[in-house]
Amino acid sequence: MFLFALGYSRFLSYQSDAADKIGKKQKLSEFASALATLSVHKLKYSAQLTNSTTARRAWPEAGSAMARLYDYLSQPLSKFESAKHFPLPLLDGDDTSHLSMLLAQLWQTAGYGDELKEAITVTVMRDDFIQTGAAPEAYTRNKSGNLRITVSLTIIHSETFSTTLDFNYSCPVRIATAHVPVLSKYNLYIENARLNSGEYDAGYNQVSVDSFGNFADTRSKARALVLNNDGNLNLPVKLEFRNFVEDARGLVYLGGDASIFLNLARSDAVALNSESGEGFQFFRRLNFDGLYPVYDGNSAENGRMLISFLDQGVSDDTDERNLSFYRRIESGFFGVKQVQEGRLRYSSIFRLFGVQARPSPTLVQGNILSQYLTIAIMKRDDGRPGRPLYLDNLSYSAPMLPDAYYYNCINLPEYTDLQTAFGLDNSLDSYKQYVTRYSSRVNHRPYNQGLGFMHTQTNPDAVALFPESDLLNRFVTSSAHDATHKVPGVFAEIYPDAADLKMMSAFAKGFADEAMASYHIDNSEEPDAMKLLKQQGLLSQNRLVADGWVRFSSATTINRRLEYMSSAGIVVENGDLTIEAPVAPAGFRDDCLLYLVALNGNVVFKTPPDAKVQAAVIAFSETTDHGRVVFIAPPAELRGALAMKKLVRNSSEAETFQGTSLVYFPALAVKPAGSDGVSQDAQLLTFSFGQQPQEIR
Amino acid sequence: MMRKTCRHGFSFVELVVAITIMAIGIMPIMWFFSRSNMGTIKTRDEVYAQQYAAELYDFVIASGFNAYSPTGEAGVEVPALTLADETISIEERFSRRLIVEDLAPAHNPDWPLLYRTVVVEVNWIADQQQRSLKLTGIIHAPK
Repeated sequence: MFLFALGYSRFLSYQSDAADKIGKKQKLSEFASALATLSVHKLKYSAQLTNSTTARRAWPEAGSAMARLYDYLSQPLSKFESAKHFPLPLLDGDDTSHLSMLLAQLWQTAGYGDELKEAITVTVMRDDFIQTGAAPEAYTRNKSGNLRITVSLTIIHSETFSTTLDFNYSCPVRIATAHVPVLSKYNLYIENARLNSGEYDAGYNQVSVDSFGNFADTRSKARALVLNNDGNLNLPVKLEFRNFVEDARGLVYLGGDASIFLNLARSDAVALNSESGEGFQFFRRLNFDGLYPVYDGNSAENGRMLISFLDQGVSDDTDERNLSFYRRIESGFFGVKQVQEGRLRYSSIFRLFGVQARPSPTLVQGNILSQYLTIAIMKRDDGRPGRPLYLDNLSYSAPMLPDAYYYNCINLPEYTDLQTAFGLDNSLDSYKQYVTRYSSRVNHRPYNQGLGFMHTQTNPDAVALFPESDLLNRFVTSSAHDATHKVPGVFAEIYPDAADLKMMSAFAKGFADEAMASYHIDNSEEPDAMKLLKQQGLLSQNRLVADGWVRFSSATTINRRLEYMSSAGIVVENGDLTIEAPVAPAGFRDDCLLYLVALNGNVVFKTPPDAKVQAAVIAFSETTDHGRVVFIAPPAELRGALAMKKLVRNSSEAETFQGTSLVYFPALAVKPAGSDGVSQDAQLLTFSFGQQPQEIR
Repeated sequence: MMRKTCRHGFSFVELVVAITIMAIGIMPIMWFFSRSNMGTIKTRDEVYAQQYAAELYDFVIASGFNAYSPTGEAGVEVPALTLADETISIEERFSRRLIVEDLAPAHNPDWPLLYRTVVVEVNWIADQQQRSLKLTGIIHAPK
């Protein structure tokens, strides 16, 4: 009986001990949970709130424990070890004072003193992660998974005796780049840039400039979209195709099934910094003389004759400086017709290679031609004027037949040098030869030919600069060849099934994939994005702390200045994404970028005129009604990139188009991974941690 | 000659002695049982206290940041919880207190979250001793 009693007593004693231990563990468990929560919040927000003049993005303080974790997590998954442990002291790095205040008060509230010590360890296990992203073979850093967080609480009973209890938690994390494979390489991508279904599409030519190449705002409703294709890196024109593809430079794609004619804006030697002119795309000597000899012959009376051309951009200015050019062309019926149909008084709404004040070369893909005025002049070998000096356009317009007037012009005494030097008479054949070869006219060429003059403006043969063996030569000599619409160079391997650029949907996985979003917000009842972001804890003092992609279900509006603390993305599934205020990275975060995406709607800008927006914009839709970027009131500058189905639907919309300065964000040009399997897109990585750790029991 | 008769059994004295010895032997066992029962009651109360504390703590955490305003250091007594029209009360022997306080309200203004400490304290008397159990955690919400 005694033994039985003893046994029973011990059983009850164990039971009591067990209850006591469970009680203590529960008491510590809530405390450990609080520490785990603070650890996760440290992971989630500290990097975003760290101001670093060197990192210029959301990154932990250099040398801190968290920086080591971030470095590790930013690697491709293939570089992960099977398990790697990172101590994560709560009081470490820039936010020490902030978290120490929280911890001290928490310790005091719980009634603990020095007898309780904490140690937090983050464990990254390779098997807890999967690789994600639209093109995981090309951009290898995207992944999602769980971190394991161990909170070890040590109760110090005496100098020699202590008890340690471990509490384990998991925290979801998504590491994704603010980058869209292939599309990000383009500063401007328009799936279908055609404005009509005809052969001759000149509807974009709507912008007035004066004779100096400055924007004439009193005569024009339309304002140009001025591209800066390298984010002010001032990358020079190189002569090989791969340079354009591999540089940190944004390309341009204007898609469509036929030619698009873009008039180049006039600029003048006396206004070298004009804000809208495109004279840098023409041959000019150092003394600004733009005449280049094309034909030569020997006049019976005056010896060697040279017919030279002078190319000039368009303007609707009425001063003599400008009108004198048009006079030479509008002297013929066909010249008049060309000027009218090609809207040759107006420059296009695009400045694809920048403006005179700041040229910005890139590769333009799509069947795009630049259109301009070519004035023909005949001079003697010694520079004195030939007869005639100006070779006016003498064309007729079909079905009218050329009358004797034109025949006889060439036969007039004023044309004697032309007749004898080039063997012309008053026959129909001579007349045709004159009109098609020698006379002043409206001219066009592949848009990329301007690159030759941007490389060496004093070389009249722009094409000869580019080696025939190189693909770039084909872009310079033709606007319609088999590489016109192809995904270029190393980017062609990203999506094996998407060989060309014609369908934006081929790249949709990069911006439409639901799995890449860290936050989903149903906003069918509330269009105010700022309010909803705040409710989700993603906004602090109008600063976005998402550090990942946020998806809204319905149309939404950013109606107050939004600063983002890290790279991120805002995606609207259905409806328009309207921007009514500046959107920019917060201070010390210039290397961050926000993606603004409408999946089935438009991205609409209604910003104050002095607003600056740093964001890459994608407007997509499966239907033809949406997928546009609409500049109702454009910002002063848009730094990022633009990709859309359509910019304007017809020439009427082009007539009132409001452009802006589009400055490419060079980090978007990042190339896919090479043989080492490491893509260089670390700058745009986002680290989205869950807000509440889950206990692993 | 008288034949001696053999008598079996215990004498009274023997019996008294035996009972005394047995009583002396059983007493500590009874004492053991008594103490064990006290321990069982104590354990039961501990378990009850844990349950009461966890019940309120989980309820407060699940109710969200704004469901309970800061209570001050004194806290508020919460003897019962009403959940889906059902009221769950604690036994009268126990008292339960909730203390909610803002945590470091002056911390980094850029930090997007607000924190409060949630403390649930359960008190009771066991074995004529005042007993107490305290759970401490935090709750957070966007600023």
